[in-house]
Amino acid sequence: MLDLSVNIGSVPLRSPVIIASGTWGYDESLWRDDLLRHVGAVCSKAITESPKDGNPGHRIWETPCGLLNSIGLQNTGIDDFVDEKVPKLKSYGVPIIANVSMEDERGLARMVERLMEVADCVAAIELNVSCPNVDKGCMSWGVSPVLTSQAVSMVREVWRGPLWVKMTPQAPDPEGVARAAEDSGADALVVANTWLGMAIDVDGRKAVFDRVVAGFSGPAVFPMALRLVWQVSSAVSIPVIGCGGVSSGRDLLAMIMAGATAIELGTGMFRDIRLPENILREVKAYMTEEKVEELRSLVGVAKK
Amino acid sequence: MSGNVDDFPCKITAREMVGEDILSIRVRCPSIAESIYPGQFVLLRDPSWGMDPLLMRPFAVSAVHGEDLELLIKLVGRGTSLLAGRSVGDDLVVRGPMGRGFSSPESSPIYVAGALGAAPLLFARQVFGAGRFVLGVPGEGWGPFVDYLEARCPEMEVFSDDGSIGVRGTALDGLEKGESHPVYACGPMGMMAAIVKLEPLSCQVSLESRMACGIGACCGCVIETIQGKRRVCADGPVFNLEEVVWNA
Repeated sequence: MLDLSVNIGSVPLRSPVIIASGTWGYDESLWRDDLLRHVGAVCSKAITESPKDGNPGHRIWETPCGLLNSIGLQNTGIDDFVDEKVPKLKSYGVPIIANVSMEDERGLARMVERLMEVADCVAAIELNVSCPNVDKGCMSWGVSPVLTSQAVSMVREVWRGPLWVKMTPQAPDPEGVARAAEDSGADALVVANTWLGMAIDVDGRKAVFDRVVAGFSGPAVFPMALRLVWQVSSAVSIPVIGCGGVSSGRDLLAMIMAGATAIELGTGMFRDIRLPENILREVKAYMTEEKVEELRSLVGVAKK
Repeated sequence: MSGNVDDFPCKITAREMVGEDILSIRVRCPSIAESIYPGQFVLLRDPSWGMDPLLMRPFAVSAVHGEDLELLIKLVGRGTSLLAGRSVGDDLVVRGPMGRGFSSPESSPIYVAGALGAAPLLFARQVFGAGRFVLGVPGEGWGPFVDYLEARCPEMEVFSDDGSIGVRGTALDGLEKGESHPVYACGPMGMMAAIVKLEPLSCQVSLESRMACGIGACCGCVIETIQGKRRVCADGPVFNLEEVVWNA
């Protein structure tokens, strides 16, 4: 019997495949058992203190094997998440990870206090200090070990449950940020969010996005995400969740062998909504062939 | 709602270029053909694409013929150009029906199309029944496309910007102020925004937007409405004319 279950700190997951924040909606048609039974957990869309309309203008732009986005954290705010979304989502039987996006300290504290009211329905907080598509907060915290530490400590003061930190690949010292998060009480690190990119509309002779820069994701970023997972998992002792361009079972296996305990799928879900199932099929075939009974036994093997 | 999020393998059963850069294609997909409603759309991918192009492409359905869906595709980029290179018998992957379509009309409707906007309206006409069909095209070079449409809708009233096809003018010249028949419109944003000034009694518009997921998850395709930003893929693509903030 193949065992694909993993533990992210104290959070047990039946599958190492987690759906990344921003890539799964709240519409009922998406929360079908046949789609979710292969999924370990679902990260909510990024939650902000107040509802956010997101960015104006173009929001997405496809590139070869990649995707630029500038959504800008469109969401209905923490109160709607706690009062409306969580009561519905808890019935689906999939662990819900609350992706909390911070603008400032006061707002972060209020969001975590509200999440405490539904702590038994939220498997973990994923502290998003990494979104590149907003002017205020977020990535500006995640590029700095000091500010990351400050943010993690603030959440830790209120939140007793599991706490993941979603890192930015833009940090000049990713190991420093990772260690700061671990030392301040993070239980796991998600490595990473989107890379900064941009696109020019050559016919219009202008930048495609109103904010000029946008977040770059998709299969094109996989080698860079893999490198970050290797680096960061070597620097900390808490679990690392690989995120960036995973599109196949072999990508998942590579992330695990580089030191990840699980992976998050984002852009790949847009191409293939059954990607979790298809990835796990490939992983199981590998494990059978290689006589690997427990996926977790492969964590970091490429470093040994 | 996000429509049916299942993917189905399908085969191309017919293809025809109807102009230099417009492809008419039929794909066999019984489950979608029997359930799709006018104004809904499908997502299409060629399995040979691999990771490039990365995303499925959204297309309006212009007709249903038994188990076949008919689509009209403007070749605007790499994905559509690759689709145009496929042949009858080739495999595609199709997802749908997606989105929210047109509401049934209470009386005979007027269909108002700008160029490729004719696609969802042809399907609406097939299901809701005949009514006036007004088409606007730029002009020279659009003859084969207009011939294709007129073969399916002989009573079509055609306008062209340069007067080379039909009557000189735009599709809106076929409308009167305060139309009391329900108007169904699809075309360039400017055309649909201008319908507001004609103050029809009722009007539903089918919008287009650049999409990533197509299932309501990513919020990449939003438009501005009086209720705030709404997703073209899952809350639309059909909206009431007065819902949309046209000068956003």
